[in-house]
Amino acid sequence: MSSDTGKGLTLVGIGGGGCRMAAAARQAHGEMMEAVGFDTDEASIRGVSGLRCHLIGATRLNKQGAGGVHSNGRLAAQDDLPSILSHLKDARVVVLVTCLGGGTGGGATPVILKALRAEGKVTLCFATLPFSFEGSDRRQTADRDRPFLEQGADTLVLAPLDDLYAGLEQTTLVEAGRRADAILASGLALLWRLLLTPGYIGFDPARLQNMLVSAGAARFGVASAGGEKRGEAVVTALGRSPLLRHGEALAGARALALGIMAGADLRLAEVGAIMDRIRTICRKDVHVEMGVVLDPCFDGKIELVSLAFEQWVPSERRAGVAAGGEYAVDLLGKDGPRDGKLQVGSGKFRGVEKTVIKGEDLDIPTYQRLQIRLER
Amino acid sequence: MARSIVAVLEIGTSNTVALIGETIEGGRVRVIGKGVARTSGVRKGLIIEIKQAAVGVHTALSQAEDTADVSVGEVLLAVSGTHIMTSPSEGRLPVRATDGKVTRDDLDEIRELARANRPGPDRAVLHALPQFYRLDELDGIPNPEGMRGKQLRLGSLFIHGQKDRIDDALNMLKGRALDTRDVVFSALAAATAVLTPEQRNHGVAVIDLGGGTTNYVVYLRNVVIAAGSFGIGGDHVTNDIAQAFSIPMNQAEELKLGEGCAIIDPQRSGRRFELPASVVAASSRSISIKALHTVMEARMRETLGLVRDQVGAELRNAGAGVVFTGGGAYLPKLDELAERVFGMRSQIGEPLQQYIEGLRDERVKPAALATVSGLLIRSAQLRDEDNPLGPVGMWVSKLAKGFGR
Repeated sequence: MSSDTGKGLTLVGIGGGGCRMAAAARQAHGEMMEAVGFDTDEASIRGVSGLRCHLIGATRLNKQGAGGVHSNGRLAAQDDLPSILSHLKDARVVVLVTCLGGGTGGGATPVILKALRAEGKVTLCFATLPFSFEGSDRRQTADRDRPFLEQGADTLVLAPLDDLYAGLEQTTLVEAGRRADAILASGLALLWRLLLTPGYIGFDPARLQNMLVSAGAARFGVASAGGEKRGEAVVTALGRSPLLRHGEALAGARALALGIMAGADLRLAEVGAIMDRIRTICRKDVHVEMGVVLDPCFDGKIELVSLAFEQWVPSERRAGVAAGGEYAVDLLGKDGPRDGKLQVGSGKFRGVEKTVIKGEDLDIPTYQRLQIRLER
Repeated sequence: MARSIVAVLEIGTSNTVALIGETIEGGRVRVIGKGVARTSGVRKGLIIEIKQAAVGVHTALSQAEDTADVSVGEVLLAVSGTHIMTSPSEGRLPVRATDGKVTRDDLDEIRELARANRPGPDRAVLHALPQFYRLDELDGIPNPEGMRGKQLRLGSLFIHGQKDRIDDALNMLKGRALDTRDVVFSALAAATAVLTPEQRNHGVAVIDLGGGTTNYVVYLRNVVIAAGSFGIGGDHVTNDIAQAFSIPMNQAEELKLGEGCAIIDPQRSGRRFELPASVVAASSRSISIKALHTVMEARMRETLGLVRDQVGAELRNAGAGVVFTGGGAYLPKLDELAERVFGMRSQIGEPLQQYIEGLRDERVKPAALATVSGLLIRSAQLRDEDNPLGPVGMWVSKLAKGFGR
């Protein structure tokens, strides 16, 4: 079941860019973050520090990477799916980060998303879109891969690199790259802090999970402010965030997950000011879920982290979507029954309303979901 | 006292059981008719094939009517299933008397107020159970009459189910010319039959391990403080075994009953079980008992964990531990698993002699009859409202006098 430290929340980087960002997020948050990376390129993995990265598709691709070819990434993930899933067996909510435009991110991510959904896990997928200057080829690749992510993820958050780099045009390419990575990484780290710190007003993975299954695509934004009027200022800063399309995403959001991080000096009036301000920016009928985390490391400032969802279908719209019937997945490797192929499925309970609790389809045998190896 | 006859029915996922009983002295009941039939058409406590389910009801009731030599026109019915939920409600009332003392009128009125916040129109309320009184800052008062204060509060716990699902069952019985006198949540009924007044007072969780559902109620100081139902039951254990070893369901069921264990039993783990050759498997083969126990422990641990996740906080105060009812209660070493999951001792809950007699049946073990026994005890007490009720009848009488249906 869920691991104790991460409350069932795991970050996964896929492909070179995804692994780099996951590593940066883990550095920003610290050791307590459950995180893992998957890539097809051994050289690229060696360049990532602070993250457990695993090579996938090694036999097929000779550890050389997917070469920008979508099908290579897809096949690599399919080859090593059992090992990928075994690293995620404790997770209930999986947050994936990847960069579209290449082969591994675009090809492997949909396969992994699909397998995770089949296991009843809830997924939040962050995907960056390539720079416009990278040319139309990469853009087209990204556009082609996007629908697969939309289909596979419970919530897809798109972050165009052009937006991430907005305002950094005059900095050097290396520096701009580092800072743009840092924006997303610090955003992820904040999200983790919000979810895992027992908050004054809690916002735990279970609540996020409920939101993710009720909503579709989302935009992600972070902001920080200090000083006298920091309550108002931080919302203004959030509204200016390029990732939230300078407030457009907030104004159009149907649902909003909002985390307020502050020191012990946070005043009630400031929370009020933030929420009032948010309400003036957002639609009247927006569904807001908020959490407040008080931590001495935020003393003197307020940081906001937000997911602005484009759609909102309340309650059990998705109850029982996990595991669409009978399908064969090699979960147990070569030692599994039926020549290594195991029928995962609800067996006797097919055609009956599924028992889904916290996103897990409990009709599927427990030992299969926990991937317990059976003595033969 | 006139001989009064009551009939009760439980359409379980595995068995449909009918009991007919008569009230005897001291609010007790004696079973005079019994019927047990295999159920079909029911999954996870819900009727999915009305015609098939009706066959089970007919068989069970006919058997019971034959042995009791009476005919039945009205039953008390137990229900379970994931659609059963609870929701709280609270009433507040300023104390009206000039001396600030709480009067009987205040209590009557606040009981009405406490159940004002009913669940939505698609929900059928099965029970409205009073919680503790609170007088200003003083909480947890069983009876505040005569105490001084300004504001009185009383909470209620509604146990409710989806109207359509319950109507399905009632309509099916109507088709057999049977009226349903009352519908009771199965775990509450089971608790009626197996708990002593002391257990209810000290705090106890009753977990009913049925074929298709797991139902629970938690008592503290004689009040039901939590209840619920999951669509996970013994069928899941059987299904897991069938899938793990690629064997048919009936063989998996036999294996579960014959060799099953709630935890990996070190004394048996080296052994293997020979599966005989059959139509599906041409040659005989053996399976590891350890693997069987691994599959069962994973499922049982998860199931008990689900209950713990729901009532963990309340359970901490349950001094009388956990009581298991239903067919699953007899799973070997369930007490050891429960000790690991809940950190408290547990026992098998069989209907108590002080409430019911004549229950013994060679087809079904007593804990699997806890729900129907509880229905019978309840029913007998509801029918003889004028009788002085025993301790078990206290909350039943509360229900009868204006709290329940």
